[in-house]
Amino acid sequence: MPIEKKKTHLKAGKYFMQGDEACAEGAVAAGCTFFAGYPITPASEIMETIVRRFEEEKRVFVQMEDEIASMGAIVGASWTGAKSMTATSGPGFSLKMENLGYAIMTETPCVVVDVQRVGPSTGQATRTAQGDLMQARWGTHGEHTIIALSPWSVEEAFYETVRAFNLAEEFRTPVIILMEEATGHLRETVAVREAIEIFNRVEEGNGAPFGGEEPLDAVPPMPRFGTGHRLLVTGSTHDPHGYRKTQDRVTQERLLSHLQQKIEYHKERIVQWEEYELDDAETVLISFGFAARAALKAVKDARKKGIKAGLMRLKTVWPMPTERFETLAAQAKTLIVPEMNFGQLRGEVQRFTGGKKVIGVNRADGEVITPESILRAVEGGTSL
Amino acid sequence: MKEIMFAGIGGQGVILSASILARAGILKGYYAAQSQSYGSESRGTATRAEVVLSEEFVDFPHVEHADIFVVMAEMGVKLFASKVSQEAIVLYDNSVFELSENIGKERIGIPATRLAVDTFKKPLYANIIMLGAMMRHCGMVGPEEIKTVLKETVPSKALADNIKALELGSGLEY
Amino acid sequence: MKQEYLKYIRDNVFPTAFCPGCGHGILLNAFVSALGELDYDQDNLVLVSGIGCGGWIASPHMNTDTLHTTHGRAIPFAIGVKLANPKLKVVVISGDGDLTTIGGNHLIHAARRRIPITVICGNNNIYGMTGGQASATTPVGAKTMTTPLGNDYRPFDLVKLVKGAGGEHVYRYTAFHAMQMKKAFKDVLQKDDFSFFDILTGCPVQYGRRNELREPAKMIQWMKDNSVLYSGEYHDDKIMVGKF
Repeated sequence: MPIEKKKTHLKAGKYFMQGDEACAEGAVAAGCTFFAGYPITPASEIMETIVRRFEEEKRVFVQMEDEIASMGAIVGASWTGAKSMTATSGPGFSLKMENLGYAIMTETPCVVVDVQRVGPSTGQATRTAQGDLMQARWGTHGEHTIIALSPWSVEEAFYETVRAFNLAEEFRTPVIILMEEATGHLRETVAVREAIEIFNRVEEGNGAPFGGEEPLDAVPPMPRFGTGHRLLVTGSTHDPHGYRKTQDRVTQERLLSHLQQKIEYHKERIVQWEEYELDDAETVLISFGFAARAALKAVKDARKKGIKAGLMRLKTVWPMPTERFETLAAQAKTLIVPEMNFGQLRGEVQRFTGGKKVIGVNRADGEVITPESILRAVEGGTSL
Repeated sequence: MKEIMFAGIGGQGVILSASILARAGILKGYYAAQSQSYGSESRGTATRAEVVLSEEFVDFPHVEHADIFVVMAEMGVKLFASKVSQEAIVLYDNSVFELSENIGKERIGIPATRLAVDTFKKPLYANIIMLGAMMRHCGMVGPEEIKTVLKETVPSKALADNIKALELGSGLEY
Repeated sequence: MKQEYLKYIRDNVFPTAFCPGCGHGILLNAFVSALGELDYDQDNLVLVSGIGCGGWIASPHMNTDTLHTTHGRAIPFAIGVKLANPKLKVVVISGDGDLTTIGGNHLIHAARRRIPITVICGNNNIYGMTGGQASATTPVGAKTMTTPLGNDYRPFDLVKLVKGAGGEHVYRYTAFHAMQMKKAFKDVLQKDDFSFFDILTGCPVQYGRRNELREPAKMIQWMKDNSVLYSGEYHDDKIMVGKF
């Protein structure tokens, strides 16, 4: 594995940062050298921090004319060997979707941050939500697979951004960081470690530059522009050498299988979650991002009252640890999914419970979900 | 763990106060989380800023039941009273409004705006005077940490007045 | 084209997707000849294209690094390549529907910023690949699939558009002007500036057949008869060609 232990640009120690800032600092630490963005609340602070850092470090920042262009620019930059990133929120995330699909199809590593705000449409720009969970998964058209991470704290915004870059490089795919405004604008203690692990792109190797050859789950090497490979990069269906095969069903089937298998067959390297008090839990909560912090507090409050509650908290939201959903569903008397939408995660969990009903605790009015409301559901065992 | 909530009208500097307190808490070795609610129309509307200081990672980083409530405008009392603990200390600017609500356990009036106008000829430092009073009652951070943070955050020409405001707030006899 | 220039072309992608009489082939030929005459380093050249017939000029024909992007977005991808590695020569070749209609916003901003890339618009005044619908360069009165009674709306004058947005090094030629086109390509290939080409390629199949220019030779003749070399005076009723 081309993993390198690298000192971060920040001195090891405790910092007090905003989630957006921590995300940008994580990108710098991960070796991001190209950032293209467009102003949008509540994600602009990521771009502003990047501007400050990139000036110091002589990396490339460009404010593009729109969200579509900034997504296009990071894909172009990635093909020159750069680790590239863009950051946005709901409306901008929608605009980026076509070029996100292009990055998936062309196996272009890049990182896309969505600091979720209230939608649909312009919604409430400064208010928080978790309404883009399904958009991260299915926002771009066509059958595909995606990796999306969900940091729950400012410190994780730093480290999960590093992980996002590493996964993007290892699996040659765009990786989405799904934050919430509540974390993006939260200021919190961040402990920065001395060194972090960085995955460096495999540029040279045996085989063609695109997938579709056996084994189908193997990630092909990605040469960069300007090195004599005369690459053919296209968002149309292509063979492993990049030649368009827009009428051939076998090429399409193999390409799709490759794009899916390179991620789904390696879930153990991608999917991460944390468990709290689950050993003897009869009431099992499953949550992600900011909502999971309220859920953890509710679990602890419930334990004080003698209720055997526990929490599974997703760090990787796509792909999901569905096998664990199944075992927890078998163990639990009550399953509860708290989230800041009307049940996007609950629907996914429900598919793996063998028919056991999942209770939702939902809030989508722009305010954060509270431990109190979750505790009420834990105590009552019924939906609000 | 202590939960501290600041409330006022946009422009009064409650978010700055919260940020200074949180940074001071970090200097003291605490885990700090600070958040705020604001709209794009941030001036003239009710603003809330929250700080949670703890020995360890704070599960839920927002205020659930404030131990200390610092309120600089009457509007803030009505809007946020439900988030104030029954055991709370409530510090309010009694040169701006009289507290009629029966919230918290102990209610202390600090004439911050009048003191600021008397001392600095403008209400600008009322938030720092309130921060000084809060510091005395919070007990988790001291003047040294807050002064260090002030040195890092406020313009150097305003530092002396800020420190004076802090001392005014913390030194008051109630 | 000289035999040795074939190194710039992938030999396994023929026949091309272009219809008989399509001027995109003339554009491609002129571009390859310009590279050949300069003995241009094909491994330092990235060609970026969008979607539509114009998107096929560079990809897959050109034997260089090629980036065949989404519809209308070739320029932002190209800007990403160029800014991330300024040593590369980056040339966008695409069509009028792609670069000036769905992607028009990117074109004016690239011109405004004067990002040092070359943008070549193979302008055939129509959406060819999708069956002949009106684009932002379809002339007033022209009949297309979506304007069967004649186009009501004024087209962009791409030279004026790009100049107005701040672009320098702006050229226009037609498929009749292959030699002049080639010479201008050679000029910009040796520079690291923003440059723009409006190349009227003509589409006998989708445009010509509805507008009495069905015969490729007739369309070329029409281009020749109606074009005037720019020498300081701009005539809106003519096809002004040259450097602007």
